[in-house]
Amino acid sequence: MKASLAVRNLTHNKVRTLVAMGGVCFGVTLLFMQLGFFATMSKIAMLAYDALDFDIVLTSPNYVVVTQAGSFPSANMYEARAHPGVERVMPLYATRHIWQNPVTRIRRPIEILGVNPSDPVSRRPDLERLVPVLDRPDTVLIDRLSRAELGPQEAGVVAQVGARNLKIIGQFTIGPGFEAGLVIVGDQTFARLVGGRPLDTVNVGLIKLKPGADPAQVVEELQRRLPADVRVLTRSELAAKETRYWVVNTAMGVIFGCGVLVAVLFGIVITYQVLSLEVSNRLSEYATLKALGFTDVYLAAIVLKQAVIFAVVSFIPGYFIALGIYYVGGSMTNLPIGMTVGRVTGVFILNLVLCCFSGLLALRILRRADPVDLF
Amino acid sequence: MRIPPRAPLGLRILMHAPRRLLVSVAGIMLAIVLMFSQSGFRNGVLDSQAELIERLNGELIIVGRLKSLWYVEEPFPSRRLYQARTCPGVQNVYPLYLETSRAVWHNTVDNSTRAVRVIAYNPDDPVIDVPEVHAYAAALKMPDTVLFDEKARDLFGRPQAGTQTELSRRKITVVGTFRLGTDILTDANLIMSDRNFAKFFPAPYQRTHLDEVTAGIVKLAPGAKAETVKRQLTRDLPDDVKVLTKPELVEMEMTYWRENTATGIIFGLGMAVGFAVGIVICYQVLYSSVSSYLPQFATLKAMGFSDAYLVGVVLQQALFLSILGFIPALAAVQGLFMVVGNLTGLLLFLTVGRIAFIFVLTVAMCMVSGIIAVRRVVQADPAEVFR
Repeated sequence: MKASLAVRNLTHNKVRTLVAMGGVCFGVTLLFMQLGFFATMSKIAMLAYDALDFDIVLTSPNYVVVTQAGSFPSANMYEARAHPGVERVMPLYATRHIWQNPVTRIRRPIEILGVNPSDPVSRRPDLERLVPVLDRPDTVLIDRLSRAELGPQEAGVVAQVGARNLKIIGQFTIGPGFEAGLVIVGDQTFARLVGGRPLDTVNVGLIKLKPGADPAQVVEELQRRLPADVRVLTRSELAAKETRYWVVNTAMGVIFGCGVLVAVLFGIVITYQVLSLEVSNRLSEYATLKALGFTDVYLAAIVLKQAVIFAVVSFIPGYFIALGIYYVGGSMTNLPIGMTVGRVTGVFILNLVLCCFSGLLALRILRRADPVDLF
Repeated sequence: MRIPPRAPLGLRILMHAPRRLLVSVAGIMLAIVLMFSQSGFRNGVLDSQAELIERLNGELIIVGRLKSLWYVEEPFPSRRLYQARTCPGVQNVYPLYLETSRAVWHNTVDNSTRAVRVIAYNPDDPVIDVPEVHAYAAALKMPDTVLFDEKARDLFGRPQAGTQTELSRRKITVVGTFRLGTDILTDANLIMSDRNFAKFFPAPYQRTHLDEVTAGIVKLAPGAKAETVKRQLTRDLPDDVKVLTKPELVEMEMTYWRENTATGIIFGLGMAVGFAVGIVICYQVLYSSVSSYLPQFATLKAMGFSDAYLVGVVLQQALFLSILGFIPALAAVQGLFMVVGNLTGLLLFLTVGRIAFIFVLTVAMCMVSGIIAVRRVVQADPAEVFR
């Protein structure tokens, strides 16, 4: 009896209920969208590093983000290699440079990584196979997720990078994040690209440890051994630093974070507005029931059941529209925008709690007043 | 709550239930804040990218033929500027030099280094609308001096006049500050003289200093028409350069960011969804508000009031709710822009045009949904509403 009263309250005026649900549904979509964008900032932070096989890193004390890494003398790499826990050290060079589309001649800024072609920097099949071929001079690998305006990406295409002509010998898949493109070259090619910079300063030192070695312990020992012009970090410390840059130190991170706050506030107000209107529209009916002798608990149960149905039914389309937005955003930008189970659960619970809370709050007027006054 | 007896009926209906009114106004207000903030952030990215261009003191700009975004320099021979000066209608052409890839600033406070953008020109030339350069012209002509952008992000340790540090590994002294603003790719701007620029950033490939410029700022003679001079210059100059009007250059930069970057696309998506959600919420608030009073409207109709009168009352409500929500929303958005603008260094501002657009959109949506809600009374037999 109770359940069907809640349902019948909702279906009594289908159009009004649908419009009300539309408000809450779009609030859910908005929250999903802002959370999705915000989460993308931390996802792109480690896209490149996640493709590389290392346990700890050496960086300059000026390290900001991989494209602004600063540099340190490579002698530190040899020092580090002497540590018993270290299996191998692999230099990583990184910078931004200018790529020219061979067809349209338009130039775009891209991210370039340089590695020693004989180092096993990656265990991903495409990179494992292609990186050794980079020891041929003036060759380059291109991320197939780079923006289309960089031009044709097939092996054999020659593109001008800075002042040099590089031949594409293959493609890999990582994701350039917010950059227009990502390419990988051999260290000799990298040195020629940045104007003859000697390879004895390194941007990032990737270190693979021997099996069984404890990364935190090796980091501590290396930091003590090595001079102050280099920092040692575990992989997770690097991830935290890189993520922090993207989330806190970029305009986008700050704005998306703000967007989440606005969306939460939005959700609270809209949900309260909709649910409290639902209850106050029927206040005289609830008052009648109370005058007839039904308890406050009984009335609260009706409102709660109504709120739950409301929350669930308005959540579902909101979720699917959000999936659509993720798809559109992701396919237009090649950014890794995706839904997570945690996010779905969190938004669902938040929506449910807000709906129930709002409904019950509106009902409180009933508890305090004499039913007759409500007419 | 005492309501003046001669107040319009629409307003009296709204004020009859003050708590409900407050909640409805809050809903409208948030919808408006959403639309302003999403479009404001997107516009902020575009406006910030174009800010330096907007401040150029010329009607036409000469750039390299392949120039498609401001960040990629595309230098061309400075000889082109001498050729351009001979064109009729041209009062003067000023060289502008920019450097982004090789410019690295050393922050003495925390010993960090960061990329900066260096803007250089002859301090006597009125190239950019930055009044401080003229004031510091004499100091800027001294060797190894620079002005620093006050609006740079805090990560630079707030250099002041007198700060001594290194730029790209050469000693440099800050002689003053100016105000410009950052953008997505630039965390700080520096202004220096062209002579200093030649020393700090010698042209690669063994050419002599200042042989290549990033842009030529063309100041037209009084009475000259921009389009005419542009056509003439395009004919006169070889095709390793192109001539654009300032609005065209701004549009080129904005188009790149709006359509060709992940940043612009995501912000654009956020803006579109923000508008969609904002509009739906306005619709929903008005619809529920009017719907809860349908019995009263039906009674009025049964009493003999015309349909036009009822629609008029609803339109009044739409207008009142929109205005009541709009004013606090504007205040909230201004506050939000100030905070986020300070945190990010982006240019976030409201213009009359943008305010008017969102206001009209809000009112229109509220009115449309109010009319749809009251249709039941207008079209049907009023007694139906009471069933």
